[in-house]
This record gives sequence, C-alpha cells and structure tokens, in this order.
Amino acid sequence: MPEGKVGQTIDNDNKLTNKYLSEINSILDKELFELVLVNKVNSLFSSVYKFTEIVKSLFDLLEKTIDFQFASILITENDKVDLFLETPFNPKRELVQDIRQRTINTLPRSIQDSIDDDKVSVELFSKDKGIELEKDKFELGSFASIPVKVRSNCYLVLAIAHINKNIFGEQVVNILEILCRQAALVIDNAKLYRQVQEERNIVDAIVQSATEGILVTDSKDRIISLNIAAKRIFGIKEGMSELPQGIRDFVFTPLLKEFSQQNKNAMVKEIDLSVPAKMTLRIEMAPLRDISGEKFGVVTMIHDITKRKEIDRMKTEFVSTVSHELRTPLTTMKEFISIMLDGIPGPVNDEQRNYLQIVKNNITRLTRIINNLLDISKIEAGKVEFRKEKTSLAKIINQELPNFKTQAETKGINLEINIPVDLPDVFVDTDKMIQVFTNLVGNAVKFTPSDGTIKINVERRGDFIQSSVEDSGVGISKESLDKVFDKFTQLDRQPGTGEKGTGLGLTITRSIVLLHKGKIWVESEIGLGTKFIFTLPVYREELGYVEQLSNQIRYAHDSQKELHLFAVGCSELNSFCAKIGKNAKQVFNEIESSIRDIVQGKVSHMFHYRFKDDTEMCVVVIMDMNEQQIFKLKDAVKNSLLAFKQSLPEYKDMKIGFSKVSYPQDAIQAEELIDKAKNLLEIFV
Amino acid sequence: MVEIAKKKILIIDDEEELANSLDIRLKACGYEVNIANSGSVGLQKFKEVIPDLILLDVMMPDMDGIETLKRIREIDEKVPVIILTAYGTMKTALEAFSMNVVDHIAKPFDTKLLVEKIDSILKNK
Repeated sequence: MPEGKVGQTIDNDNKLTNKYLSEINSILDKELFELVLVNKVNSLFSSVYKFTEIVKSLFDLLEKTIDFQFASILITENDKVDLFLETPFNPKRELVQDIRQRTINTLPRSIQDSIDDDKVSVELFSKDKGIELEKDKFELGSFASIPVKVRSNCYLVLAIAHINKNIFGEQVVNILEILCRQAALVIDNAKLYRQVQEERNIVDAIVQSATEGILVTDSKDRIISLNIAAKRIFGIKEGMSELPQGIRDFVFTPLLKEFSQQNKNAMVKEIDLSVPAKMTLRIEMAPLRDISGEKFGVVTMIHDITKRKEIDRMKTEFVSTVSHELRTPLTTMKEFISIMLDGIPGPVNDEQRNYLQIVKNNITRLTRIINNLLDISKIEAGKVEFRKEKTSLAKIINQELPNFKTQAETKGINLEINIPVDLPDVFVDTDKMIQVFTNLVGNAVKFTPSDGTIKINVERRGDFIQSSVEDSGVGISKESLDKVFDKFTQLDRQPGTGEKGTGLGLTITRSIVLLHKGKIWVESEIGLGTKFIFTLPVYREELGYVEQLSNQIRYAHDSQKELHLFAVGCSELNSFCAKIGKNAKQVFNEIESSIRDIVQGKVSHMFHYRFKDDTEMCVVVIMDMNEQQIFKLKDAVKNSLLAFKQSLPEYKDMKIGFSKVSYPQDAIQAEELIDKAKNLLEIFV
Repeated sequence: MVEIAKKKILIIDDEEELANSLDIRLKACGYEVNIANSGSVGLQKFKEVIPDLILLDVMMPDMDGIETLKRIREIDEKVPVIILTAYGTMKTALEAFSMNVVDHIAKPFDTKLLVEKIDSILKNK
C-alpha cells in the first residue's frame, strides 16, 4: 500500500479501488484532485434533479472513493428531516439508531434543537449483500461527518462509519468535505432547477393551451418551441416540431430575416398562404430578451384570420352585390311600367293608368326602403367612408331650404329658420348632413298638421354646435319615445299626405350623428309637438388632422406598412414663458421651426396639435422609413432641439419632451396614437 | 330628300330585360339601338356599329364594365359613355370617371332623366 497522500492511518484492510488510487496518486496537486472530484460530482448530477437520484449518486460516489461500512446522508429543510442510510450489511436497530443520532448531532446546536424526533424519516439503502456483521460488533468504531449549509434553513450532512476504530484519516475527511460541499451546491441547484422546471411547465402549459399559434426561435433562428395551435395551423403532426420546408424557406425565414436585420421591436404582417390550405395569417413578432436586455430569440404569434377576412370581404361584397341584385329588377320593372304609362305599346285607359301608377309608386317606395337598408348595412358593417370637410351648417341648410320650403308650403305649414350669422364651422360629410336634415324635416312635415309650425334652430353651445328641428305636431308618447331611433319603428300617425316611411330614417340619422362624434336626442309630448336635437363638435384644425391621420393609417394597413409618429412637447410651457416674458405660442413655433428643417422632405407631414387641456404638441408623421433611418432622424431631431435650447441663455430652464409611437404596435386608432404620443413624452433636454 | 341619319346608341348591360326596356324607350325617342349582353360582345358590336353614344353597366360578370371601357377607350378616346351604376359601386364609378366618362346615372334611374342626358349629349355632338 503506497503511503503519502492517502494518509498514515490507513489500515491494511482499507481498500480504495485501484482505479481511483492510481488516479489519486498520479495527481500530485491537491487542488487539481479536488477539482476532479468536483467535476465528477457535477457531471454525475448535471442531468439529474430528482432528490433520491442525487442521494443514490452521492452514495455511489462515496463508495467509489472511500471505504466505509455505513454511510448516511441527512437533509433537513425547515423542520423536515430526511435521513438516508447505506450499508452493504443488514444492520441491527441499535446501530442504525447510533448512526442516526451521531449524524444529527453533527448539525449546529440551534438546528438540532428545532428538530422534532418524530419527524425524522429514515430510509435505508441497504445493498444487503447478505453479509452479516460479526455478531458481537454493534458499536461504531469510526465515525466521520461533515455538515454543510445549503441555504437558509437547509442543511446537508454527509457521514461515514466503520466498526473498526481509527479507520478514517485526514485525507478521507477531506474527500468527504469536498463531496459534501459540492453536493450541497448541486442540491441547491437541483431544487432551483426543480423550481425552474415547475415554472417552465406552467409556462409551457399556458403556451400549449393558447388558441393562437406560438413559435419561439433562438438567436440562430432555430425553432425552440412550436405550440399545438401553431402545429394545427401549419398541418404539422403531433410528434414533429419542424415547419414544413416550403413555409419555412419561403415564408418564415424571410420574415425572421427582415425582423432581425431591421432590428425591430415589433413587426406585424398579414400573409396569404395557399398551403396547407388557403388561409390568411396575421404574424406578430417580438424579441425575447433576458434580464440584461440582450436579445436571445424571437417569439412569433400566429393568428389565423382567414375567417375574419372572409367575413370582411363578404360585408363589402354584400353591399355592392346585393344592391346591384336588388336594384336591377327594380329598374326593369320601373322602366316597363313607364313605357306602358307613356303609351308606347298602345294607349291605356284611365283604369289601367291608375293601376299602373300604383305599381310605379310602390316600386319607388321599395327603392327607398332598399336604399335605407343598404345605408344602415354599410354603417353597421363599418364600410361607410365619410368625406369630411370644414363647412358651415348654415350653408348646408340654406342649400336645402328650397326643398324644405316646398314641402312645408304644400301642407300649409309655417317654416322658421334661426341661424346666427357668426356660426362657427363644423367638420362633416356634407351629403350625410343633408341626409340628416332632410330626414328630420321630412318627419316634422309628416307629423304636423296644416297651419302648424316647424322651426329649425342652430346655435353654438360651448364646444358644440347644437341643431334642432321642432314641430307643433302630434307629438310622441312616452312609451314610444325610447324606441323612436330603433329600426323599423314607425309611430302611429294620422293618415295624410306624404310618402309612407321606411322606419329606418331616424336610425340612419342617429348613426350619422354618432359617427361624427355628436349626440342626438328627442323631446316630445303628445299634443304639444316634437323636438329633435343633435350636436356636432365645433370645427378645430385637430379634427382635420385626426381624419387625415386615420386615412393614412388605413393606407398603411392596406399596404402592410408601418406608420410612425414623432411627438415634441414642452413641459409647463405657459409658466416658463410667463417667467421669461415671452409669448408661449411664439416660443412653440420656434421649437417647431427648429425641427421642420430637419424633417422636411423626409417625412410625410407635420402638424401642430392642441389638446383640450391646452397642451401643445408638434407631431411628425413618418411613413416608408426603415428602423435605421428612423433612428437617425430621431437623433437629428433631438440634436436640433438641444441646439435650439442652447441658442438662447434664457431657454436653459426649458423642458422639451420627445416621444415616438408606431402603428400598429402602440395603437390602432388615430386619436389613440396621438394620445399615446402625448403620454409617452419624455423630457430629454 | 335626304333622311337624317338616326343617332346610334349601344347598350352594354348583362340584364337582358332592362336592356330591352331601354331599347323600347330609346327607339320611341327616335334613336337606333343596339344591345350587347356582355362586355366582350359589347366590344365586338362597338367595332361593328360605331355608335354615337354608349350606355355601359359597370357591374357585369366576365369582362366587367371597367375592363370593357378600357378596351373601348383603346380604340376610341372620344365616344361619349354614360355608365349605369348601382349603389355600392362608388369606387368603380370613380375609376370609370378617370377614363373619360361623360356622365353617370344610378339604378334604378328616372328614364326621363336618362333620355334628357342622352339628348343633350348627342345634340352637342
């Protein structure tokens, strides 16, 4: 038996396996030896995390490196104690107790005190090779143990024992210590690992159960995870986790490339596929970042919007196809009746003429109903495109006045118009407004008897223009008042002149008013007449800008492009200007001028937006620019603002804020986008 | 005595009955009328008849109104065309106007109005 490193107290009975002995002997450097041992521990445990596995492996390693008759591993966490015992023998109960107690006694006093003896669970890993201990040996001769703190409230004790005395030398204790420390680390990691595993299982469950497809790729664009929904969309079988080659090469890889190259923070695209079936997908990509903000992958959400697009397309087609299908027969009917009434195929007698006229009138009525129905369908399908412009309600009413007058005079009704000369403008679709007034006046005429009066009033009420059509007619009952704007509600009225209504006029009127961001309501009492009132916002330049931005967003959406806004604001502009004695408006104009030169020619357009709370913001609309160019422009703008601020010493306390928002990532509606830009303004200089 | 040549109108509409009713009406007004029930036939007839005015329905299956108009314009830039539109065809109507359409009338239309339009266009020719 070689002497030296292995210690002086080695008994001849001790057998270290030759393999390890020669290894130990060949390693002269103590630290290297420790490192090897550490490595062995780690390599054993790197793929293992169940606790009993750890214990078993630990015992295995102990066996290989140390000669012992008994080994115990104790783990205590909070007040739970697990004791594992290994021995090739079939030990007597007293021996077991002895080892148990000695192992526990290795722990720090305070921990020992908190242990409830009843809660100690002992598990015997007896190899039971059937070897019987010498009968009179039931006392331990040698015992060595090392306690290690794994983490707070968690301790590990590694212990070995032998019947014979003085078996374990310094080197053995060293080995024990190394093993114990490393095992503690591994156990700590194992528990951590288990937590991570549990958490990952939860996330995995969430991802798998998502209705949208989720695809995760690493920094090399390899697929890490493909959830069930994604597999379903691409027709991938359960066990597989690869995209079909065609989709990967021609769809996915180019998209990932675009996303990475342009270093985007988000990307939304709609793509049409014909395999595995005809479908439209909405793809959203976002980077995955670790704690330090480094990008380590990409997560892609896949929405199957085929149905939604189909429905949308059907809605559009419905309006045009159905209208054509309904109108053509009507036209034909009207034509032939007309031809007959004009006597072209031959003269008609009075009775025939009478009946033909009735048919013609009904065709006209049917036409009106269809027009109204189509109007409503369009509005409800969101397919109405208003063409708003700055105009005056006075102008609109005066334009239609001859019609209204004729209607009223035919029935002997008095018509009064009250419109102030200085009425502010509104931002409306003129044709639609004509429709609204025509409907309200038409109703008034219908329900007002001869000698009655109809008044049209328009006036400014704060930020709104309020219009009303009031009549001295029959009035509406309380019960019917709520239903007056409902579809196909026609109120009982006296039979009289005038066309029969369609029951849709007020519904359409209401929709138009609401879509113009106004309100409409009715006041009425039976016998006292009816008053329909509606409001429209007073014209502000901002309304035009929002409309313009909405149109641009629609264009961006249709052409699959992104749209960006830069916003510049000045915090507490008014108080700052008061302090330095300058006009706030002028100062803000100066701020705007300083960036106008930079952005001119590069951006779509720029406008000045004043919020209801009087905050001012300069908005720059950018389309058709890649991420890099935007970045450069942002810097240029910021630098220009900085230079502006430094241009005059009295501006040194000025606080200028900047923000950048994008469609569709930050918001989808124009107003929302502008609001978000305002909220995200960050003072940078 | 020289007989004044009747002005020729070409109606291109896939609705046969409607086209027939227009035929009756316009003939009674003293026009010579030709009918085509599709864009392709319409194009053919256009080359044969060389009409003074065309009534063109914008919504037709196969070669639609716009396509027909395009082809006609390739041959003749000036012949007056009145397009017959239905409600939801604003977009198409706008497209047509960019191709030099002289007027439009929406279905169902007032025949008298249509005849007035035709009269005024052809009188000025």
